[in-house]
Amino acid sequence: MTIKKTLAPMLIALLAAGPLALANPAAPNDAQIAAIVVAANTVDIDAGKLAESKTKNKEVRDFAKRMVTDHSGVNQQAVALVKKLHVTPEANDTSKSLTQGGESTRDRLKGLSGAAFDKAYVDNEVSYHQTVLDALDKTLIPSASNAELKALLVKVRPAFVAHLEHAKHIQAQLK
Amino acid sequence: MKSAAVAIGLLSWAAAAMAADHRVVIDGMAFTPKVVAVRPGDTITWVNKDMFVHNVTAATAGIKSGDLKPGQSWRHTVRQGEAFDYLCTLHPVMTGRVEVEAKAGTAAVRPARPRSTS
Repeated sequence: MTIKKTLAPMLIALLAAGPLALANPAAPNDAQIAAIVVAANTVDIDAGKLAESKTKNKEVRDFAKRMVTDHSGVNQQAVALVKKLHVTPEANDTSKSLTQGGESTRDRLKGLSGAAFDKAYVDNEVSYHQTVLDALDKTLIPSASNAELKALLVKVRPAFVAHLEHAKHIQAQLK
Repeated sequence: MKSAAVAIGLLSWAAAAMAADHRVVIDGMAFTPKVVAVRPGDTITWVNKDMFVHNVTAATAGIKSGDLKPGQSWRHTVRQGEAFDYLCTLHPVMTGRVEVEAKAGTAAVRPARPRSTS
């Protein structure tokens, strides 16, 4: 089960609420957004750590290492901000699905090796970053009510774009 | 002989005095401006305002800033004929270019021009 397959239904539901985010009770509040951000980054950190330990491909390893570093940085910033704002991240269906989807993906990746692992990992990275980017644009950023939280989401967005492009580049090379 | 040395010294001083400082901001996973036009002797300072570690690397030109943590900057003085493309090796989609416009001697006698800043 790929990240895309596990996360897509839940994120599609999030995206559907996008334009009505402020009025729709289903739109995540700031505490829920914080939990979603932390969960989304943690999923990629854990996948990156697994890839670092399994891959023999230098480019894939460098990319995985970068994902661990960058997404850890985002989580540190997010945790620091919610602490400052006295917001307690609130676990919700989306954050839980992200976490469960990440665990399923790691279980699947653990059973692969060599080129098959590299391809599966990078394919997931492409899907994951595209899906989270869509969620940022259509749901998370529009729904954030606190200005600092919204600014943080806007600030991290280019990283998801850069990571996506980097992952696509490696994906093309692996074919 | 002494007057020639003085003249050379003055020219060198004038060239240094005319050299411009350029600033490239690293933010939002991008170098801004992406292309910076300089003259030999000019300096470029890359300032990392992003929340991630970046670097400025042009392997073929032997240019390596090393890791620039958020808030750090790196300064480089451009030599003649040193136009180069560079990137952040940590995030290879981040690229930039330094164009070298004219020779140092030419730059020394030209009027000052605005800084190339973001």
